[in-house]
Amino acid sequence: VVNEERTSNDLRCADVEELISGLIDGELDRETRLAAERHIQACPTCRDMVAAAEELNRTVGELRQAVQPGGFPAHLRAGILAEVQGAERQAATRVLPFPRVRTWSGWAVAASLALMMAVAAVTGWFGPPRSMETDQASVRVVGVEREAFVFVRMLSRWLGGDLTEEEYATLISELQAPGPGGGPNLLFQLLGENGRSGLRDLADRTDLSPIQQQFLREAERLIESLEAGEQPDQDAWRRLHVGLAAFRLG
Amino acid sequence: MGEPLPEAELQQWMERLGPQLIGLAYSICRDRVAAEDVTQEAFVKLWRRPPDGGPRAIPSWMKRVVTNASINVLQRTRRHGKLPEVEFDPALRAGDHPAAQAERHDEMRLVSMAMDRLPDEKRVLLILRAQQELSYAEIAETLGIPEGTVMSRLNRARKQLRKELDALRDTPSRHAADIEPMTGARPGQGEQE
Repeated sequence: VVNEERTSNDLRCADVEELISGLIDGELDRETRLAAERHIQACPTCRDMVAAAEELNRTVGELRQAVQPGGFPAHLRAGILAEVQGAERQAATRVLPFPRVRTWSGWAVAASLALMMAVAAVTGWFGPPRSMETDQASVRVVGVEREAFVFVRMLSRWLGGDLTEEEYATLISELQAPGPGGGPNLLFQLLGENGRSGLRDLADRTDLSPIQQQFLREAERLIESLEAGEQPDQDAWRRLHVGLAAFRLG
Repeated sequence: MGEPLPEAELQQWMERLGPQLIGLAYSICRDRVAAEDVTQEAFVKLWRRPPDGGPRAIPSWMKRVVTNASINVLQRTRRHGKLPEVEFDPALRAGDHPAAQAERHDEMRLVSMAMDRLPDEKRVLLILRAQQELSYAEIAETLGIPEGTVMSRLNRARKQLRKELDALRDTPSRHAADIEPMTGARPGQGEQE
């Protein structure tokens, strides 16, 4: 090995060792690379060292393939679009305070979706396309007044993607308004006594995916906290918005 | 300050860069939820204020944003100097022979464990080069270090990785239990025993 250290152009094994990263990464200038290659050709020790370094580099590279998802997760796409669209609406209407999402996790959306699925169960959204009559019937079932009808209809149109900016603003202000027929109270009524049976009915369905089933469990927890008298805070509303968008985007 | 990116373009970038960015974030911070948070914030940032230089500048800009945010997450959350173990995706090797799959998986798990033993700055350097294939200039820009030092830093990182790997191979009894094969059967299991 000692004899092989001096091969050509003054490069020694120690020099090649210093250059090995530049060599396997293709970052050496032409002259240095050629000198290193000449040395390697004549030096089995360095040849083995470079081959081992390349192999290890490949394996480190393959670790990426092992942790990278095959596609972009739908819930993440929905979350990003919800935030973007929320910000756009905020700029357009100045009605909806849409806080920037700082931490965002799957369960938060799951809970929001579950909430909407529970509403859907109560108001019959799981069937074929609804007519005005079915909406009205649903409202009668849950026993709330015209506000609920308007709310549900607007919500369903938003889910269908055909709500105007102005209507959206109205919907949000209605959601946020306290008092009978408005905001949290309305949702609470929708989810109250009928919400739980709606959830149970849903849980009995056999065509739900595991993630939908998880949404249901999260919804139950959310309803429990509502029943415990906890007022949904701004963050809960934000999650609802994200969930609605995710629902709309499928 | 530029205009927000059109939503349709944002969606195209999500499809094109999203999986890779999640992989990058996860490689650094080893937390799926945090990796998704970081990726989401990066795309919202892209939408709000795309980088100067047009579409060509976006991929490396996004990698830089995600890398730095992931390093911040890592610094905030890393406990006791130990990272959670990498979760491998079993579907990735569905086409290989089961014994080869398991053997390769064991090797990758070993290299992954060796990576975990590196200091964060060395690990991130290797992730950026070997996994994200960033050039030395891009690595220097991403990490805010002089370009002239990237090669020597990578050399040191690779040298230490090799050392950690050799140490792990020399103590198989201590680590064998940690290395679970990806498939149900270990290589050779049932044939030799």
